[in-house]
Amino acid sequence: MDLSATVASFQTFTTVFLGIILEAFPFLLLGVVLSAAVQVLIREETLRRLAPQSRLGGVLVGSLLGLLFPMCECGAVPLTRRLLGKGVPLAVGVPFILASPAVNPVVIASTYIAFGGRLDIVGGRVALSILIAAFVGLVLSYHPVPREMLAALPVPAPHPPIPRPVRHQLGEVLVHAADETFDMGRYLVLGGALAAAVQAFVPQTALLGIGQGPVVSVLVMMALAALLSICSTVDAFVALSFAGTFSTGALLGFLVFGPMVDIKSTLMFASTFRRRVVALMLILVAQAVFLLCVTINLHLE
Amino acid sequence: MPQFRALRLGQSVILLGLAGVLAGKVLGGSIGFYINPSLAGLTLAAAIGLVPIGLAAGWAAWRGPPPGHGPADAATRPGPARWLIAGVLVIPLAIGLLPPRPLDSAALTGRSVNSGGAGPASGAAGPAAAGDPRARTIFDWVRAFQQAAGPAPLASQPVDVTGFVYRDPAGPAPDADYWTVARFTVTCCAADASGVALTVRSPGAASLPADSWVHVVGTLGLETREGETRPVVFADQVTRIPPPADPYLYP
Repeated sequence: MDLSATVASFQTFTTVFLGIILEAFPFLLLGVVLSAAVQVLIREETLRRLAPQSRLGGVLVGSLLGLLFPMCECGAVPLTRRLLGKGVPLAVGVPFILASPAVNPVVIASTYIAFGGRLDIVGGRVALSILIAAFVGLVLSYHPVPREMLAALPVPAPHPPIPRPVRHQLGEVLVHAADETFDMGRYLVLGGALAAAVQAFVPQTALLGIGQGPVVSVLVMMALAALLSICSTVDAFVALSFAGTFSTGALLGFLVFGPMVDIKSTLMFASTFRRRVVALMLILVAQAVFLLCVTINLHLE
Repeated sequence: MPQFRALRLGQSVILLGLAGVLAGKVLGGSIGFYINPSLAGLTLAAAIGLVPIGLAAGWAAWRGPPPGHGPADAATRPGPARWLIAGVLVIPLAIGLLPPRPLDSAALTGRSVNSGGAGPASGAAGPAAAGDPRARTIFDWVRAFQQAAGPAPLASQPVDVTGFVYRDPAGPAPDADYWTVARFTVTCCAADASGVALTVRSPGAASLPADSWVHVVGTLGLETREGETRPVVFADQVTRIPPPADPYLYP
């Protein structure tokens, strides 16, 4: 590659990178402010009382919670991290973090619009996302000491027992939000930079050229979803451009895997879980998406 | 504890700087290079939201560490890791200060460019073919070809589109009369950009530099290659124009 082509690719990189940052920052900030409010204003006992006690109830609530809180991963990760830190069980937190970027009203609507009402795609996306998120949440919830799976959180000063004036509480929420913006923002920035670099320097056609069979096509679309790191709100429109060339199973692979695992969200997960737990989650999700989507390709097409 | 204050002050400067970059992109008119302008309100809201957070960090720097923090507390004795964390957000701040540039040919290379493709020699036009053909963008044309399963039903309609000159490395040699007028469609942000293009035939096309913006007026024609009917715009007039403020199509 000669110098002028490298410079041109670098310009593509900066534009795509800033696109991701300008687009994602409002959602990151929303998650950060909610998380800071949870940290400062809500007591652990309240959350413990509200969270479902049984495992199955937990994973069910966790995978469906996105319907009430329409957040993409940029917002869901900081909020979940804080909720887990405050004692909300993993059986709720893990399915929420995995399912909510896909199973929420905004994404369901955009998928419906993009695919012009193809119910196999819309329904398949929702059903597979819930199923896989619940499965992974269930597996992780069997760990004997759940706290050991969480990455260390920067712990703020303990609450003074005396009630403080609202003015001080607000100041505390904001200083917290500043810390959290840096803590979560770095994963967004690094993940966004990697995704933009892939877009600028790796030709998409190279990846798409690898294969089309019922098995390989699922792998290719899963890889593409993970590498592109497109926000789940609009990934359906991108998937649409492949609809002519790829089978239903491969498209579902893209639409289910992308919101759960991509460069950006994987880095953000590392802020919440220990690295080995992140690796385990990725492997479980990838296996489940792959097996289910290949099955769809082979038996339901 | 000067380290604590310096870290908080650094946070404050970076957050307020980011607020400035976000607001600058929206108010400076280049937001359309990066995201769908209909979402610019969210970016502006984030810029406004960053201001009190940045000010709060500044306030914490001025006030010093809160009482009751032990000497081992991470917040009062920032280690190198915390400085590094603060440093990562300098990256978007620095890149945000570079002169804005929209995506161009370089981003199209290696992507699949949708030109509506080839189709059978005849067919029925879909709903996208309704209305004045001259009002159609490149994206509208490509969609109309797809709905009609080929360009045949749209032949000899007038074409009036704007886009940038793209020379497909896999296409005909640049000295031929064929070239491509292209445009990006962006739904959300530049990361989901995909290319749409029309093949144009005009004499003297080799003098048009790649990435220059043009206004093409002509007629849609059909050419058969490799047994398939392909759309070609026979250009009557190709005018160079300044790059538009909103360079992409936002369907």
